[in-house]
Amino acid sequence: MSDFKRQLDDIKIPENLHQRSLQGIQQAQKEQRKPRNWLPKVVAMVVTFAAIGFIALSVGEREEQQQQASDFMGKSPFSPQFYWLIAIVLMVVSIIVIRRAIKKGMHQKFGIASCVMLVLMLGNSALFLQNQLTKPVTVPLVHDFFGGNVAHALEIRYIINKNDHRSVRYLQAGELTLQALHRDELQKEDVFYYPTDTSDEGSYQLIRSAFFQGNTEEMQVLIDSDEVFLVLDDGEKLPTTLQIDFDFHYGPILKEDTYMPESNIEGNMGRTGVMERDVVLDEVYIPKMLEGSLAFEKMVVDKVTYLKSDFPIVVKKGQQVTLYFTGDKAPIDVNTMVGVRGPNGLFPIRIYGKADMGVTKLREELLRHDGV
Amino acid sequence: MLEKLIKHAQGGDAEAFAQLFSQFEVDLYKMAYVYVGNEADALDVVQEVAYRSFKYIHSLQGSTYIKTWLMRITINCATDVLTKRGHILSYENDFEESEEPYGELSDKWVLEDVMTKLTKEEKDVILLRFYHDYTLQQTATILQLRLGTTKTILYRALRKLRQALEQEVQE
Repeated sequence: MSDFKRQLDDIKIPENLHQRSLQGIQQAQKEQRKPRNWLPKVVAMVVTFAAIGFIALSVGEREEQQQQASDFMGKSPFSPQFYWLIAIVLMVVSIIVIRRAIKKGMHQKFGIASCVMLVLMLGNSALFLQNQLTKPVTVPLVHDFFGGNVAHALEIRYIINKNDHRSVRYLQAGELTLQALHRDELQKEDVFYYPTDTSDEGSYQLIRSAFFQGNTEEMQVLIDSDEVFLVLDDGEKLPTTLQIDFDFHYGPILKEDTYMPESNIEGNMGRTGVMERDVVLDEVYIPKMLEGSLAFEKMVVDKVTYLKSDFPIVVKKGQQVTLYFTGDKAPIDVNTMVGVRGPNGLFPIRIYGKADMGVTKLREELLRHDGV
Repeated sequence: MLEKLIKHAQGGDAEAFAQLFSQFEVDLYKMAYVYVGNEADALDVVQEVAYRSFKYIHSLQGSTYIKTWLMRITINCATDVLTKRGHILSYENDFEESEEPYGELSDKWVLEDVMTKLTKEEKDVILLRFYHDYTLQQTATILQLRLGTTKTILYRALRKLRQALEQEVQE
């Protein structure tokens, strides 16, 4: 043995060395900061699984075809309630496991990270619940049918939670029922083309379309009915807010070859025409449901401007008349006419527009039209 | 046996850990003593090593590394004591790759010289290489240094010890 080693070995060992070692061990034991290897793994697994579950529930994926919003939900035989149950159980388990893990000495940083994750999940869930509809709602619709057509098509849109599996089966108005047509049937019959029955997608709901087709008599029944319902797969009835009519006022006071452009409801609308005969125009015509969204601006007859306060106005045969309206975004689907009219007929402007969607605005609009 | 004690200790068994730690505590104390230079501080270091090692025993990967792991903790704890005292000497930044200095172990070294003339890093290398008999590569691994750097530190430490010895002989 070298001298150096011997010198080191000669270092006097204090009697209380072992005692001091034990003190250090006891101190560590007292602090109970001995993480169990499995604990962080379990916590991470539970939190991750819970987070994935919530993301799948709240975001979902767009489904191009008929049914479902959430792919996760769509492929599963279980109900949304089942998944909520799992989510809640997972959350409770997460809280218990993290609490226990912290008590057992889980790393502080990991504990904080887990808590942040839980808070995010709770926030996400609260936001998700807050934005859920208790039942699907229909989008208000103002629609005119062309009187000359034999078959009429009608599209009513409705908003449905992404995790709601149901779809519209038929439309009901008293004794009348019109079966909802699948998109493929519509394309086959060339009634009109529409790429998908899911017309729009929000964060929490889908806006979907139900298509119907009927003859003039059937549509007249709809027009005359006070209550029209969309009926879902499971029989639940969704009340609709409709203002539908035939365009029976169209044309008699204007020259037949006058072009009628379609205007979008949002912005300025105008149309110029030449009078077929002498007429009296005594009021502005705006469908009742659109009164809050549309306004008559002015009417110009041979360069003379008239405002609403100038009515009634006499217009001679051959005079050129230009109408101006202004519109704003509205949570209403529109495919109708506005104009000025009198005893001799209507000078119309055809307007269209898709509802500016948003569940809150839509609810307000539905309340406003309650009873229309 | 060692493996069994480690497993029990990792499961939170304090008695098993105490039994395990007692196998190394003397060596750890001596090592600490060389760094801090007095009994009281060396005991503090050992107590702190016992505390830290039991606290983090779960992170130990395999029983093979228990001794080197405890020595690293000891070096860290001793460094903390020296830092608090403000007596720590840092590396001289003139590391150069050099050949391993063979045959420099002298029977005439004085422990006092090791404790007083060398920097903390030089003590690290000298103790691991010549007291615990680790190879230079193992020493470098334990200290998380490059092999060349370790050689340089060793060479410098040996030179200092030789000079101190020569000085004492002349006196």
